[in-house]
Amino acid sequence: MSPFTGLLMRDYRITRNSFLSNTIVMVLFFIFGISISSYFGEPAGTLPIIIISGIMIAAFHPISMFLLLKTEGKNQLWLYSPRPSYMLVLSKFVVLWIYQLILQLLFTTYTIFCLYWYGKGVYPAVPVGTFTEIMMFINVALLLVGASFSCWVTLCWTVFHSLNRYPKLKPFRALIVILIIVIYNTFETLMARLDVVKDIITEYSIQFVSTPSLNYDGGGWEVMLEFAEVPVIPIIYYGFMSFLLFYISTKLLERKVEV
Amino acid sequence: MTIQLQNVTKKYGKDFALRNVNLNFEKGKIYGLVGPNGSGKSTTLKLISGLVFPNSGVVSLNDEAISRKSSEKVAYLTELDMFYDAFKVKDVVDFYNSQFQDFNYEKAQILLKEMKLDPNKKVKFLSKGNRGRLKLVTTLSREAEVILLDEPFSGLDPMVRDAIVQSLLQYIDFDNQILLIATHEIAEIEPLLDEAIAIYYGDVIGQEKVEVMREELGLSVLQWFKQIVAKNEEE
Repeated sequence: MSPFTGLLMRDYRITRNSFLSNTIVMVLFFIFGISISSYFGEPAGTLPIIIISGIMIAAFHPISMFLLLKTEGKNQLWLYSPRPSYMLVLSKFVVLWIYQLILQLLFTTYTIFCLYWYGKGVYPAVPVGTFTEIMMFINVALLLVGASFSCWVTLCWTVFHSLNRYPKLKPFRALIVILIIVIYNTFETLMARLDVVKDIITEYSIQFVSTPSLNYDGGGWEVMLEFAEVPVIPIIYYGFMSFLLFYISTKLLERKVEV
Repeated sequence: MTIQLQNVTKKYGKDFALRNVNLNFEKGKIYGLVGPNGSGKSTTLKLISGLVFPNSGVVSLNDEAISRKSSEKVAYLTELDMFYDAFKVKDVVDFYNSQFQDFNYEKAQILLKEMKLDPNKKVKFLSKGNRGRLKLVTTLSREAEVILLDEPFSGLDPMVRDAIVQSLLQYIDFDNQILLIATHEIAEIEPLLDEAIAIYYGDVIGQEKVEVMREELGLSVLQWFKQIVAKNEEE
């Protein structure tokens, strides 16, 4: 077994129970959606379930990463390793991505079921090609969004534990981590208000995804789909930011974090 | 091969775990770090294993500053519970085998049998004694240049302690490895030691060859330790 496979197996073993619980919750949630919609005779009621499930899936990666790091924080075994720290963190990302993909597969299946069978009468008849494109985009976006938030979680965790070394700052560790997030977000918001930045953001975009919404036509609820413009530059920017956060986290882990 | 601590200071908050410590460890010797709880023994081992970093001074192995990568050459048995509950005994062995090039899988299998550990048993169902045994299996199965044992007898019954001492005698390569045992249970390790180092609340207050203690001073390690602690407190 290669060292990286060993790390993957380790991370799989310590997370599989929580993943199984998550999967069961999601499946129950889907069943709940269908049951409630059937009870009220409103097949469009499955749309909120789809949206909430999407949000849950996007939150799955960062929340699981936080719980995983919390477990590792209690265990000296993690950092007692000759492997570079990027490899230690990467194995967690990969395992959580695989779990997320499985959840997304369930999510996609449920969406197909709602669109083409259960809710056929209230969802617009989207051609299979367009639907495939939309679902591919949503699935890739969910994977990237999840990983991006996980990079933030990892950075916050490593900063928090790095501050253990500085006795004067130790009581303010949580506050410092919150401050970093607030300062960064304020900076990003202010930058986004500048005209020059706005122009750059909207320079390139792709018409790709539909924005679903519920519409009441008097006889019942229907789902409306609209095409939306997806700007390219922010995607590149967030990709770069995630890489940077990951890099800083691994350096902190290697040189500053003492477990 | 040598391990050196040069002017090493390590603080936790305002408290000194180690204060300007200078130590030198050489190949082929078994060292005992003795001292009461909280005296800095564990910190010394953690510094050598690269788990914590000094506030000042240098810790080096073969003239190279210790880093996380040094764990490649340093087998470390922590005093804490270091296992994941979801693992089976065999998963722990497999994991170590995948991570450390010097891990001897066959030796681990022999040790598991000798220590009467069931490979298919979940770690969370192991008794404290068996968890201690498993820690020892993972450490002694490595053919590392340095072996660090932090309180290997802590909370274990006399049978297990005896098994640990026997395993050490059987599986340590006395000519090519440095063995450091940190413990406050001095009598257990005395027969194994070449040198004893007394650490007392962050300070190294004495270092002596066990042979000299016995033959020239007529003292056991425990008597020697008590004597220098008393002397230190008088000063």
